[in-house]
Amino acid sequence: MTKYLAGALFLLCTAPASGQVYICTNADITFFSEAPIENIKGETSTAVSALNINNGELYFKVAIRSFNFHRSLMQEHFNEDYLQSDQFPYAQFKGRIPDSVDLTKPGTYTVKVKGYLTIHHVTKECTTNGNITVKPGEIITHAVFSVKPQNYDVKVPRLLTENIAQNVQVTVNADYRLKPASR
Amino acid sequence: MKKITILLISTLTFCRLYAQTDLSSLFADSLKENNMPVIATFKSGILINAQTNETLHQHDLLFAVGHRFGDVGGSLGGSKTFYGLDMISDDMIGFEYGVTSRFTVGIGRDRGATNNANVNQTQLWYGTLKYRLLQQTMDNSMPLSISLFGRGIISSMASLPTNNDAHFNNFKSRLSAAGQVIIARKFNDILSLEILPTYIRRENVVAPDQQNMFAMGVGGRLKFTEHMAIEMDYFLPFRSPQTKNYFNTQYNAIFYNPLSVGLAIETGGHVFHIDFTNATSMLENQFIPGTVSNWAKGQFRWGFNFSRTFTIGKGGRKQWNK
Repeated sequence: MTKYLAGALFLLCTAPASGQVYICTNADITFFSEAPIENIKGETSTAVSALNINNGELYFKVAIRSFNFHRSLMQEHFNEDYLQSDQFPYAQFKGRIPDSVDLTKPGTYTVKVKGYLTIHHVTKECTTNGNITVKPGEIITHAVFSVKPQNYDVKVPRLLTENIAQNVQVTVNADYRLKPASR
Repeated sequence: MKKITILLISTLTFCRLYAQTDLSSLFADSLKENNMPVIATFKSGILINAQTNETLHQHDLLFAVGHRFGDVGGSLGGSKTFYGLDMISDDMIGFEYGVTSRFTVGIGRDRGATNNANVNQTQLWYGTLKYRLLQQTMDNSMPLSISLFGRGIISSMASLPTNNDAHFNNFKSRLSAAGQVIIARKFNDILSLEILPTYIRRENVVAPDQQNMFAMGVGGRLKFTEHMAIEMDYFLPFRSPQTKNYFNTQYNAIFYNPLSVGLAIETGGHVFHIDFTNATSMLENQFIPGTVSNWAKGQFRWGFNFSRTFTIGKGGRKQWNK
């Protein structure tokens, strides 16, 4: 009896959340720093994201090392001097799209996303507007928001304040597919 | 049985809840990122006198200037030479270019520092090659970074009539070379260490000086802020006792092992090293076999290396737009 129960428990625990989670494993994240001396752009297409259309839950995760820059030395300094990607390899966002939007119905919605953004070793509350397009079996999201490096304990030496913007613009584009329901 | 049903239901509820509230569990940390190469073991391609395993990024151009002053103390130092700042023992200017991110080539000109014993060549022109053979990985499947370095040197000075290494009988006698295997490890964000088995070949030496010489170098850095590090390097030349005796009796010269300590400051594309060293020269063919200055007698000097990196390839001139 105990054996069967344990088996049943195991099955129940490992059963996937039934068909409401959409997944994206190639989300584009770009950030752009506009400063008097130079503009800096970092790009990646390997961020991952998941969206639960039943409760509006949204998750993003990106490897700091995956950002590409037009100058390799900038990329090295970004990882080594500013984000310490050896110690803090990922940035992530855990948030929610408010329940007022029914994401199970096809259409394009402008929504307010609220959640917690973790960069470096700092987690801050973050709110932004985004667009969501729901199609059968596919969801496309787009958002632009601004991040202050200072808020995430990213230290810019005084000598380089003319090189790095105080507000860095972040653009996110993700194309989700329905997560297969069974294993 | 009732108990069990409750347990089942609660487990079911918990599992559903769990599945719905932790989307992050869908993405385990991927092996790809753990396997990434370790970057920035050192801030630049040199410590003080030692090379590091670092090569330039592809299409980057490095402009480098180096300078060594006179003895801070001892008979040639003190206030009369403003602690050596009135004197120049060596200076160099060079360019390096990243052909690929693993392969850097360089050219340069060095004044050359004579020691009135076994090193008398000046007006040195050099070419360098550095190849990044292996790169340490984050998961330690490759625990070390290894680079190969070579430098060819030619003296363009007029041949001296005296019987020394600057008395040239033919073109070949003007040549010297150095080869190094640079084995480095970044232990953490703060500490990086390296060892440098080194080979020196000098075509023109005064007998019984060694035409072929091996040396072992060690180097390291302690990065104490994101932009500053304390650096040191040291070379142990394997010199024969006969040559030590010869230069001691004939030239009153005692060889010392080059030891250097300094501070590196990096801001964007600039790296500035300010250092103290007993070596008068900056090129391997001179400072390894020919350092006759002694730290203990105040025969160490201020020096600096300065470098600026320019990106001249794709994306260099053009500023990216949104």
